[in-house]
Amino acid sequence: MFLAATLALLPAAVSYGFVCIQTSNGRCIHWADGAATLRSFLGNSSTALLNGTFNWDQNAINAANDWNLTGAAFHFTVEVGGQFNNPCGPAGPNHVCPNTGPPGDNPVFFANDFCGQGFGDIIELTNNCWNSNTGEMFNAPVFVNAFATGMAAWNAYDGALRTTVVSGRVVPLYDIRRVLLHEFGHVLGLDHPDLRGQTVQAIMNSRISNLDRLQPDDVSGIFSLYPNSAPPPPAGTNPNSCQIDPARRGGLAWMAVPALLLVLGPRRATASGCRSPRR
Amino acid sequence: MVVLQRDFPELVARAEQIVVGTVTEMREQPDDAGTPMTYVTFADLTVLKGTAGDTLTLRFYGGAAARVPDMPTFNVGERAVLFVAGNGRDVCPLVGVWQGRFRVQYDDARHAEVVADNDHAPVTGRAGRALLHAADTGAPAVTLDEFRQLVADELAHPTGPAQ
Repeated sequence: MFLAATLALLPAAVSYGFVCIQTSNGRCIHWADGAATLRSFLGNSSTALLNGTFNWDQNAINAANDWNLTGAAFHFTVEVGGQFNNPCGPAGPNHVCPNTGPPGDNPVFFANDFCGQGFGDIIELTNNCWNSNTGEMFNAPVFVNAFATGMAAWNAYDGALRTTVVSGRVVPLYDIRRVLLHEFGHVLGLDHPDLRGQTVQAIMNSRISNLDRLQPDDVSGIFSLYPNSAPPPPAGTNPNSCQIDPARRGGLAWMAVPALLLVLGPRRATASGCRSPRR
Repeated sequence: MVVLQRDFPELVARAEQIVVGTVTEMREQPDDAGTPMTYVTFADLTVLKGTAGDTLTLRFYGGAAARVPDMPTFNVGERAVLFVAGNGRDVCPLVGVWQGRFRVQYDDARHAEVVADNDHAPVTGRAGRALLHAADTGAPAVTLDEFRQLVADELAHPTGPAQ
């Protein structure tokens, strides 16, 4: 009841930059229970990644944990592997919406196309599925372009965007961690503020940038959808504060993650000034 | 959705067709596999690159039953400049998804059609590989004729790939 009332009173964007994905009747889509389970099928990489991790799944876990560590009343659980329910198919018994799977099924996986349709210039696509009246989400599979055409490549790294050479051509080298961080924002219901005429620093902007961690605007966004009793202070009120500090908030969020995957790679200062202890 | 960033030379180079047109029809129809699709037909065409008949119908994934956020949407009667690639093959038939769609609107004060990007930001010119917007320059939006000239100039003298 409280969540529904909050959503009804809070416009998509008044004094904040973030925006939510909306139903046709203007409701923000959301997970009714304030939780979603992601199932990563990204697997291992053939070599060590630039950020020191050894598999793509670990970067999915780390990205989901960033959202968990905001303290909002929302929680991602990430499971690795298991039963893969191919989301591709028309709406029916095993597909709540076209090209999504059963309720609550949110696979994250590499694909060469989006259910038979070419990706074109799409790097990642989250296919949200929701109740058209209430905005309650059923599922949200995440399709990650495997770049079979060689138009770009994947790695995992912090800091400024990089390029690499594929078949003699200079192409973008994308950091899967920050791209997943962005896509998981769509999974929980956030949209692109810059495509709604807003000028903010945000991971949720439509263009991948040198930002590699959540920004205050992103945090405000998840809190707007999933408020708890202690929302974060407004952005900019304390330039010396750090709203994301794994050293302080890590414990409860990590309990949901398989124990053998708890190790996080080294972290550096984010664009917002947050700095976490080096490991 | 995360999309490859395409600058202006890339929009021009990668487009299979570049057209100016008016939306005359929108139709939702699933394909043979039951995948929801929206077909948007443009008429009153001016072709800047490639070929087209009297009308051009573009196929976009989704519709009322399956809406992908940030997929460009259209209304009957509106005009647009479209950088088309992958029509009938890809999720979105525009280069760079929303980056390949420019809105054409009539400016009553200037008595001319002017151009804005998908996000309604007026395009004011070009600098290097980038299109400029009003927020950057404070200049008025380019007219459709001026935008067509930008395209023509790039087609005549391609800038080439970014370094």
